[in-house]
Amino acid sequence: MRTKRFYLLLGLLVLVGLALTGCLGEQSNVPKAMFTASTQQKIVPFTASFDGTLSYAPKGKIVSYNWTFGDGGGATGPHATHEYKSNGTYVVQLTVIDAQGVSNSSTMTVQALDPPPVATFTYSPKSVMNGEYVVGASEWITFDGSDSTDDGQIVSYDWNFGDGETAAGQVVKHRYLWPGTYNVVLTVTDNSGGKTQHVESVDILGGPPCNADLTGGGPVWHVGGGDS
Amino acid sequence: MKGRVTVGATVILLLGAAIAWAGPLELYVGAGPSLATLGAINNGVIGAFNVILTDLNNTPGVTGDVSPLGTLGTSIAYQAGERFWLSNWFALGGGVDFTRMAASTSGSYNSSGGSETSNIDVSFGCSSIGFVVGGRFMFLDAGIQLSADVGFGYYLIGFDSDITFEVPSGYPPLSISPAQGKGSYHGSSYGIQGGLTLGFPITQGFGLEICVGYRSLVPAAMTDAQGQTLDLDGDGTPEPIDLSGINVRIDLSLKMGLPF
Repeated sequence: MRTKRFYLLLGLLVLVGLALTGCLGEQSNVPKAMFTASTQQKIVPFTASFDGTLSYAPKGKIVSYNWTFGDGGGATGPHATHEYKSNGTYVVQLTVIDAQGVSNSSTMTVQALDPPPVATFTYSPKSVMNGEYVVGASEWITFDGSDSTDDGQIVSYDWNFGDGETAAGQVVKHRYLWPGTYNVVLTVTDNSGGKTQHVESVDILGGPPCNADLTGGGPVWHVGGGDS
Repeated sequence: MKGRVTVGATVILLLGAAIAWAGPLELYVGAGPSLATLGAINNGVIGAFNVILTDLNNTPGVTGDVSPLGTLGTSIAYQAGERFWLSNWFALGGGVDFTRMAASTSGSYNSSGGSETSNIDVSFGCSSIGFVVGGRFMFLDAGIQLSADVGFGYYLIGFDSDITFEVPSGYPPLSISPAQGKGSYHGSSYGIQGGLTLGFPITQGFGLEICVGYRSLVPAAMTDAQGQTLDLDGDGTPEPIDLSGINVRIDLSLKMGLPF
């Protein structure tokens, strides 16, 4: 009888141990934080909206929503909005707390992009013929991109004259040998790596000068410079 | 590795001592429903997937209805083993158990006026093989026998996933990113288990038993062959596999005297 009582007591101790280890085991009722954003990438300044109502709690309900936006800003509530004024990469975090005080967090990266530069250029000389601007063939044309703008700094000006020739610089010179319509493309790059292009058509009339040697033995036409 | 060898050697020594000292040998085999917690998978991953599916099912401009995933954890568990009765009331022994559970869903959504199709095809499977050693204390034998079981188990766990979870492009960006593609993860766990058994002797040495038990296991950290941890919802937090839970089993047992 005493032996049976011993075994029964031992069994009860084991059951208590099981219950205790069950408590020490994994918390299977942690709330789950989840949210959506109106945008994940945009040019500053912009306002993003965040919706945390997808979050849930296996036991009970969520009683608290806390937001941080990665730039020092914060908010509370299932919905939040935030304005990003400076470019950069920001980590948005939502922390939810359920009625038992258990918390969980979820994050999302938001890219606030630097505004790209604005590319534009002028060229001269040019004449007006039949209401259109035209340039004579073999005439030196000055292309000026100094009117391009950026909130930071433009670090490069790259030209493509449409005749296979290219150049770099804020102000460059070029002349066309053959008549035709050429698309001149200016690509400007700012200090953040942003690029923008501006394209204009240039109408060329006439032909090369009579003394032009296009076989390589006569004058050589350099981009942005005179002949040699 | 050394720890496992030490434990294994200790178990063999104890069983060997039991064999040398033992009376009748009992063999048993059985099966029955088993319910495992798998909290991180059910409440975390499956819960998150189902919240998104429910929202997509109700999103204007998105047509289609995908059924939510069922929870993972219910299965039929099989066990076989042997016990050596050291006295009329106490036995030592060991056994092997196996269980497998699965959950899946599939469907598709159309959006952008029908020009975009987003496919949903998710399936999870979890299997475990357990090696259990323990004792049985029979504290009532009045024709019907009532016993308490206690044991220590070591489990090898496998988890398979196959996820295609395409969210329509018009749906706002989500803070979680379901892992796409197939995955196969492995881990191990250990813990203690106990329960009560009601035995019904049918003939001399042969009987039927109904066992109700609970096991409490340490949640298993799962990794794949490349060492990547199991993170099905892409939130950066690994999901452990917790096989703690209740099981009910019907066993057939056969008792026989040892030849020595």
